[in-house]
Amino acid sequence: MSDVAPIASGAPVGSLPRGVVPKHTMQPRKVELGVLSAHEQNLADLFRDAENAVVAAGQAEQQRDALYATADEALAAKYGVSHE
Amino acid sequence: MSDLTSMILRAQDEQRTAEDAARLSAPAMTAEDYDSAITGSATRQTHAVAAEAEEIADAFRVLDAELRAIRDEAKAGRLSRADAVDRLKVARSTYAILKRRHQQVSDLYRSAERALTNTSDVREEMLAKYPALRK
Repeated sequence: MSDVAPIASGAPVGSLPRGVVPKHTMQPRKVELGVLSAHEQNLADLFRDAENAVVAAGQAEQQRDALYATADEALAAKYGVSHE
Repeated sequence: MSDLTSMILRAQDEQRTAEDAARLSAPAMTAEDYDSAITGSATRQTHAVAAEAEEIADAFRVLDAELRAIRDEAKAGRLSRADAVDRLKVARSTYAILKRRHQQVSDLYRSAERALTNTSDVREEMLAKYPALRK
Protein backbone atom coordinates (compact mmCIF):
# COMPACT_ATOMS: atom_id res chain seq x y z
CA MET A 1 0.00 0.00 0.00
CA SER A 2 1.26 3.45 -0.75
CA ASP A 3 0.49 4.72 2.76
CA VAL A 4 3.33 2.70 4.24
CA ALA A 5 6.47 4.62 5.07
CA PRO A 6 9.82 3.54 3.60
CA ILE A 7 11.69 1.24 5.91
CA ALA A 8 15.25 2.14 5.01
CA SER A 9 17.32 5.23 4.38
CA GLY A 10 20.96 6.00 3.78
CA ALA A 11 21.40 7.63 7.17
CA PRO A 12 24.40 6.22 9.05
CA VAL A 13 24.01 4.09 12.16
CA GLY A 14 26.65 4.63 14.81
CA SER A 15 30.13 5.85 13.95
CA LEU A 16 33.65 4.63 13.67
CA PRO A 17 36.05 5.15 16.57
CA ARG A 18 37.82 8.49 16.45
CA GLY A 19 40.78 8.53 14.09
CA VAL A 20 39.90 5.29 12.31
CA VAL A 21 39.62 5.60 8.55
CA PRO A 22 37.29 2.95 7.21
CA LYS A 23 38.61 0.71 4.46
CA HIS A 24 35.16 0.74 2.91
CA THR A 25 33.31 3.77 1.66
CA MET A 26 29.77 2.43 1.99
CA GLN A 27 27.70 4.01 4.75
CA PRO A 28 25.42 1.92 7.00
CA ARG A 29 21.71 2.08 6.26
CA LYS A 30 19.16 2.99 8.87
CA VAL A 31 16.29 0.49 8.76
CA GLU A 32 12.94 1.18 10.41
CA LEU A 33 11.90 -2.32 11.32
CA GLY A 34 8.97 -0.91 13.29
CA VAL A 35 7.23 -0.46 9.93
CA LEU A 36 7.33 -4.23 9.46
CA SER A 37 5.95 -4.76 12.95
CA ALA A 38 3.07 -2.43 12.11
CA HIS A 39 2.43 -4.42 8.91
CA GLU A 40 2.46 -7.62 10.92
CA GLN A 41 -0.07 -6.33 13.43
CA ASN A 42 -2.27 -5.00 10.65
CA LEU A 43 -2.25 -8.43 9.03
CA ALA A 44 -3.17 -10.10 12.31
CA ASP A 45 -6.24 -7.82 12.45
CA LEU A 46 -7.08 -8.59 8.82
CA PHE A 47 -6.88 -12.33 9.49
CA ARG A 48 -9.45 -11.90 12.24
CA ASP A 49 -11.75 -9.90 9.94
CA ALA A 50 -11.39 -12.38 7.07
CA GLU A 51 -11.97 -15.39 9.30
CA ASN A 52 -15.03 -13.79 10.87
CA ALA A 53 -16.39 -13.03 7.40
CA VAL A 54 -15.79 -16.61 6.28
CA VAL A 55 -17.53 -18.00 9.38
CA ALA A 56 -20.50 -15.67 8.81
CA ALA A 57 -20.64 -16.69 5.14
CA GLY A 58 -20.59 -20.35 6.18
CA GLN A 59 -23.50 -19.78 8.56
CA ALA A 60 -25.44 -17.97 5.85
CA GLU A 61 -24.75 -20.91 3.53
CA GLN A 62 -26.11 -23.35 6.12
CA GLN A 63 -29.20 -21.22 6.71
CA ARG A 64 -29.84 -21.07 2.98
CA ASP A 65 -29.47 -24.86 2.66
CA ALA A 66 -31.83 -25.36 5.59
CA LEU A 67 -34.33 -23.01 3.96
CA TYR A 68 -34.15 -24.98 0.68
CA ALA A 69 -34.69 -28.22 2.59
CA THR A 70 -37.71 -26.76 4.37
CA ALA A 71 -39.14 -25.47 1.08
CA ASP A 72 -38.58 -28.89 -0.52
CA GLU A 73 -40.42 -30.60 2.30
CA ALA A 74 -43.30 -28.16 2.06
CA LEU A 75 -43.55 -28.61 -1.73
CA ALA A 76 -43.36 -32.37 -1.41
CA ALA A 77 -46.07 -32.38 1.27
CA LYS A 78 -48.40 -30.18 -0.75
CA TYR A 79 -47.77 -31.30 -4.32
CA GLY A 80 -45.70 -34.43 -3.98
CA VAL A 81 -42.84 -32.78 -5.90
CA SER A 82 -39.60 -31.15 -5.02
CA HIS A 83 -37.60 -28.44 -6.76
CA GLU A 84 -34.69 -30.84 -7.26
CA MET B 1 15.87 -21.52 -0.98
CA SER B 2 14.28 -18.10 -1.23
CA ASP B 3 16.17 -14.96 -2.25
CA LEU B 4 15.54 -13.59 1.21
CA THR B 5 17.00 -16.58 3.01
CA SER B 6 19.97 -16.53 0.63
CA MET B 7 20.62 -12.89 1.48
CA ILE B 8 20.48 -13.56 5.19
CA LEU B 9 22.86 -16.48 4.86
CA ARG B 10 25.17 -14.38 2.71
CA ALA B 11 25.25 -11.62 5.31
CA GLN B 12 26.00 -14.16 8.01
CA ASP B 13 28.74 -15.65 5.82
CA GLU B 14 30.25 -12.21 5.44
CA GLN B 15 30.37 -11.86 9.18
CA ARG B 16 32.20 -15.15 9.47
CA THR B 17 34.49 -14.25 6.56
CA ALA B 18 35.44 -11.02 8.28
CA GLU B 19 36.26 -12.95 11.43
CA ASP B 20 38.24 -15.54 9.45
CA ALA B 21 40.18 -12.82 7.63
CA ALA B 22 40.94 -11.18 10.93
CA ARG B 23 42.12 -14.49 12.36
CA LEU B 24 44.38 -15.30 9.40
CA SER B 25 46.08 -11.93 9.40
CA ALA B 26 46.01 -11.58 13.16
CA PRO B 27 49.70 -10.91 13.77
CA ALA B 28 49.63 -7.87 11.53
CA MET B 29 46.31 -6.48 12.70
CA THR B 30 45.85 -3.51 14.99
CA ALA B 31 42.73 -2.74 17.00
CA GLU B 32 41.83 -0.25 14.28
CA ASP B 33 42.11 -2.98 11.65
CA TYR B 34 39.76 -5.19 13.63
CA ASP B 35 37.33 -2.35 14.12
CA SER B 36 37.42 -1.51 10.43
CA ALA B 37 36.68 -5.16 9.52
CA ILE B 38 33.86 -5.30 12.05
CA THR B 39 32.22 -2.06 10.94
CA GLY B 40 32.65 -2.99 7.26
CA SER B 41 30.87 -6.26 7.80
CA ALA B 42 28.15 -4.65 9.92
CA THR B 43 27.63 -1.95 7.31
CA ARG B 44 27.08 -4.55 4.61
CA GLN B 45 24.65 -6.30 6.94
CA THR B 46 22.56 -3.12 7.25
CA HIS B 47 22.31 -2.96 3.45
CA ALA B 48 21.32 -6.61 3.26
CA VAL B 49 18.73 -6.08 5.98
CA ALA B 50 17.32 -3.02 4.20
CA ALA B 51 16.85 -5.02 1.00
CA GLU B 52 15.33 -7.97 2.83
CA ALA B 53 13.03 -5.76 4.87
CA GLU B 54 11.72 -4.18 1.66
CA GLU B 55 11.04 -7.67 0.27
CA ILE B 56 9.17 -8.66 3.41
CA ALA B 57 7.16 -5.43 3.29
CA ASP B 58 6.21 -6.16 -0.33
CA ALA B 59 5.12 -9.67 0.62
CA PHE B 60 3.11 -8.27 3.54
CA ARG B 61 1.32 -5.95 1.10
CA VAL B 62 0.43 -8.89 -1.16
CA LEU B 63 -0.90 -10.79 1.84
CA ASP B 64 -2.84 -7.72 2.93
CA ALA B 65 -4.55 -7.57 -0.47
CA GLU B 66 -5.34 -11.30 -0.38
CA LEU B 67 -6.91 -11.10 3.08
CA ARG B 68 -9.01 -8.11 2.08
CA ALA B 69 -10.16 -10.03 -1.01
CA ILE B 70 -11.08 -13.11 1.06
CA ARG B 71 -12.98 -10.97 3.55
CA ASP B 72 -14.83 -8.99 0.88
CA GLU B 73 -15.68 -12.02 -1.29
CA ALA B 74 -16.93 -13.93 1.75
CA LYS B 75 -19.10 -10.98 2.81
CA ALA B 76 -20.52 -10.75 -0.71
CA GLY B 77 -21.27 -14.49 -0.76
CA ARG B 78 -18.96 -14.97 -3.73
CA LEU B 79 -16.63 -17.44 -2.01
CA SER B 80 -17.44 -21.04 -1.18
CA ARG B 81 -16.55 -22.23 2.29
CA ALA B 82 -14.07 -24.77 0.89
CA ASP B 83 -12.27 -22.13 -1.20
CA ALA B 84 -12.22 -19.72 1.72
CA VAL B 85 -10.69 -22.32 4.01
CA ASP B 86 -8.04 -23.19 1.40
CA ARG B 87 -7.10 -19.57 0.79
CA LEU B 88 -6.95 -18.78 4.49
CA LYS B 89 -4.72 -21.80 5.03
CA VAL B 90 -2.26 -20.61 2.39
CA ALA B 91 -2.38 -17.08 3.81
CA ARG B 92 -1.68 -18.37 7.33
CA SER B 93 1.27 -20.39 6.11
CA THR B 94 2.69 -17.41 4.19
CA TYR B 95 2.21 -15.21 7.24
CA ALA B 96 4.13 -17.63 9.45
CA ILE B 97 7.05 -17.69 6.99
CA LEU B 98 7.12 -13.89 6.75
CA LYS B 99 7.03 -13.52 10.52
CA ARG B 100 10.05 -15.80 10.83
CA ARG B 101 11.90 -13.79 8.17
CA HIS B 102 10.98 -10.58 9.95
CA GLN B 103 12.46 -12.00 13.15
CA GLN B 104 15.63 -13.05 11.32
CA VAL B 105 16.27 -9.66 9.77
CA SER B 106 15.49 -7.94 13.09
CA ASP B 107 18.10 -10.09 14.84
CA LEU B 108 20.61 -9.45 12.06
CA TYR B 109 20.01 -5.70 12.20
CA ARG B 110 20.32 -5.55 15.98
CA SER B 111 23.61 -7.41 15.68
CA ALA B 112 24.86 -4.97 13.01
CA GLU B 113 23.74 -1.94 15.01
CA ARG B 114 25.54 -3.23 18.05
CA ALA B 115 28.71 -3.85 16.03
CA LEU B 116 28.56 -0.28 14.72
CA THR B 117 27.84 1.42 18.01
CA ASN B 118 29.87 -0.83 20.33
CA THR B 119 32.67 -1.82 17.99
CA SER B 120 35.31 -2.12 20.66
CA ASP B 121 33.08 -4.41 22.75
CA VAL B 122 32.47 -6.62 19.74
CA ARG B 123 36.22 -6.63 19.02
CA GLU B 124 36.97 -7.71 22.58
CA GLU B 125 34.37 -10.47 22.36
CA MET B 126 35.94 -11.68 19.12
CA LEU B 127 39.39 -11.64 20.68
CA ALA B 128 38.07 -13.54 23.70
CA LYS B 129 36.43 -16.06 21.38
CA TYR B 130 39.67 -16.54 19.40
CA PRO B 131 42.49 -16.14 21.93
CA ALA B 132 45.11 -16.82 19.23
CA LEU B 133 44.29 -13.43 17.73
CA ARG B 134 45.90 -11.69 20.68
CA LYS B 135 49.46 -12.75 19.90
